[in-house]
Amino acid sequence: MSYNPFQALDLKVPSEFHEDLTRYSRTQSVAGEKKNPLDNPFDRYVDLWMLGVCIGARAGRTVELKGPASRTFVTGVVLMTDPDRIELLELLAVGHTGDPYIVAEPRRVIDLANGFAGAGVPSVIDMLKNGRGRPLWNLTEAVLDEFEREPEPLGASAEPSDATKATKTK
Amino acid sequence: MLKLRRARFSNFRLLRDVELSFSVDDAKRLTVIRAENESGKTTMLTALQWAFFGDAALDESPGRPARLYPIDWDATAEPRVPVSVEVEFDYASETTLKDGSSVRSEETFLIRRSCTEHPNEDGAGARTNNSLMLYRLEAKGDEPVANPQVELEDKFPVGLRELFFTDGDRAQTWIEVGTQGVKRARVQNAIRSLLGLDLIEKAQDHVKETLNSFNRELKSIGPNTEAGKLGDRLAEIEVELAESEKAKGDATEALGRIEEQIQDYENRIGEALRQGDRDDLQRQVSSANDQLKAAERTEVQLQRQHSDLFKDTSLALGLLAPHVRRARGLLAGLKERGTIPQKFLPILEEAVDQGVCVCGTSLAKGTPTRKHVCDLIDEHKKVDAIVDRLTDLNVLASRLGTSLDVEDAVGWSQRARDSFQLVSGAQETLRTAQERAKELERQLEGLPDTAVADLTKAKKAAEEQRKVQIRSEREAEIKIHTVERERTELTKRRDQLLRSEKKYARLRANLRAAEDIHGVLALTFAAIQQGKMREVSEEMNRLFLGMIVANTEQAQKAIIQKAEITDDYDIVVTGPQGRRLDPDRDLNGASRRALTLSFILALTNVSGVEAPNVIDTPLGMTSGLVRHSILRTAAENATQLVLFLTPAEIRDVEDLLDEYAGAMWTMSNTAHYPTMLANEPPASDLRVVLCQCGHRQFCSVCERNGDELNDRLVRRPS
Repeated sequence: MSYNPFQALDLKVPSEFHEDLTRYSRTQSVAGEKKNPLDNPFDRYVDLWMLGVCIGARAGRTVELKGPASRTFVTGVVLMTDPDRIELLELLAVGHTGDPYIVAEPRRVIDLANGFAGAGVPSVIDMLKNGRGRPLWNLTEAVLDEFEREPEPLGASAEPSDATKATKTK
Repeated sequence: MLKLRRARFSNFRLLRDVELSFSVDDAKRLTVIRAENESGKTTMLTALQWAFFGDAALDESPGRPARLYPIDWDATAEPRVPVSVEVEFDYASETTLKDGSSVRSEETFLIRRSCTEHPNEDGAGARTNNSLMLYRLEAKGDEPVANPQVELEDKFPVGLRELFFTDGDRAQTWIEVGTQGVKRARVQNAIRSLLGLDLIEKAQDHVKETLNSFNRELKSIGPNTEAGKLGDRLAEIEVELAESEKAKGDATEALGRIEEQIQDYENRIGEALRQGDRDDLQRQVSSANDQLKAAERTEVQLQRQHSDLFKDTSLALGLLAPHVRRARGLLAGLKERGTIPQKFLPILEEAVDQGVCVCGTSLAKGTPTRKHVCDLIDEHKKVDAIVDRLTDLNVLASRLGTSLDVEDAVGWSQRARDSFQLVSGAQETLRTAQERAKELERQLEGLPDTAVADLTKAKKAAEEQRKVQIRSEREAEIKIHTVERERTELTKRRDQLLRSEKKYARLRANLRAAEDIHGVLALTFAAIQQGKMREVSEEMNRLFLGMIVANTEQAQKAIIQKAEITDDYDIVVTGPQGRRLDPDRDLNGASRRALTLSFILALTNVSGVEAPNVIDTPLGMTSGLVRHSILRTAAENATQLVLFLTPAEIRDVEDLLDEYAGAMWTMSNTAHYPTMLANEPPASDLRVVLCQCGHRQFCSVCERNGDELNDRLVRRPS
């Protein structure tokens, strides 16, 4: 079995955006509805979550997800099919905290990723909704703009700690 | 941009069975629906709004439900009245990247809103089976859209309802009737709906929705008798399920038959062409169909490939580049210091195997030294897994690092841009293929060989039928799914009714937090709103002075010099020497109507939202030059204009209707026979009947007593 230290851990999104996971992913479809890449750009929920993690990390913003404000949509077992993501999440944690040994604590790594998702998923939903075209084109335009912006400089080390507010990690 | 194409009404008050199309011609944007008073103008305006916005458009209040079914419906013969409104509309949007490449989405949708009403003695009646379906109409068949309510709200926000669907008489409440506070609130709310403020507005709506859900939940867990009513609904659900399953089965069966028919027509067309020495045309048709199918497949494939870019590692890598670079540096540092890879453990293990330590001490079995070394090995093995992982990560980070430095800024972006252009090109190819296929179909239909032309027409009709059956099948499937889900939810809800008081307290806390957030958003919103208001005010003044034909050359002599919106959201008009005129008292009816329409058009212009303006009796109380200029200004400033006009309003503007109207209809009420209508209507019940008579015509359906003698009208052959 391939390496996946996150398989028993929860991947989370802010509760209020859980319906958007369904809306913009092709994972679930009710009878008679045919989902398409233009309106449902993400193959699976975890793809939207991962982009949310990246957008949150790039902006240096975290929102801790816990209690009723958070919703577990799947466990980390879903990462098994994409080992690159496991490695990138670990590298993100090492880079963000400055502590290579954080890889020994998968829960901290996933808490950190969930924190970035807490801030990043709402941004991704905004990207999908705001624009003049179909969600796929809105997202394309917004992510290309994101690449043109300078990322937030990395701070010394910070992990999500505030329960309700978005924080800038400096 | 949103444009109405067609609407169909069934049992919506007196619109028992009415279907009409709207002009979508950019050169002739106006659709005129002529109707005398009490002939269905306001009903149709309401029905169109109901299709888009649901019951919110019905002006209902507790204890005062709106009746939708026809007033003379025979409830003893048929206790359930199926009511529905269908609206077909075009929706266009465009995404352009900074390099100029663009993808344009031009789609046609069909809304189908329906319900069942159960008439009772007091003239109202319960409404059940509320249903909203939204279809994307595509050449290959209609696709139901998921989350129709949300999609509709995105395309046509409910806040814009009163701006785009306007009752000419009621609309004047922007400037007259009611208290100053009420008028201000209406103006403020209208401006609030402008695009550009929608982000905050959506956030506000979202918080409001959350507040409502908390409130509903609070209510549901309080003492109530709701559980008793659930049983009735669950019983109804079983009946609905059986009906929908039957409808689905019927549609599937019909679909199979139609598919066979289409295939048969295609074969017979091919055969007829070959027999008529038209092999070349037959080959062209066949090739065009193949090309069309290939282009459709390519477009879908490229769209899917493009969407796959959003799960590509290069995207994550590009976005996380600063973090990965730092991690790479840290891991390289560990390697430099010799912390990774693990070297110590293999040496100790070898020493135990050999029975001699590196320092020469014996590690023979049973010695305390051997035990100490073995304990050390066990301890380090725990750390070993981490060191191994760090070693792997270091290798990976070094490998990624090579591409990272060159590619993080351009790698994914360039691929996305290339892919975007490929989709854009594929769209063009598809459009060309569609045009070519249509052209060939037209050629086939026009062939003197009647067998081919007839078969082509029959095939086209069968293809339309296929769309209808696909839609019915999907609709039934969704209905089944929805009802099944409702059944599950109702059962759950019964349990929720028994929730503890602890949950009640938590909900109250959430409610208070949501109220605070809502307050903050409202303040932010008000600040931004002021800026937009100035733009609307200036545009309104420009349109208004144009409509009332103000003398701008000699402005000081004009009675009306300026119209504006004050900071307090009052619409005011200024006369000579800056004296303020009260729109309620000092303006005549025509100027008040012009002011109202100017305000609405200014709002729509400034909002940038391109949607139809549907206006009922816009020209009442106007005449002469002002009526003329009001109509011209409206026709030239609206994206698509649908006007409900009485014959009296049409007088003196016939030339403008000739110039701007691309579609014209006349509605008549059968109740007006014989007092006003000249001929006995085809139906004996009360209903609105529609004919294609324009503003200069009458026919046996709409002819009114005296029309024969009216020299402005000519008889249109039935």
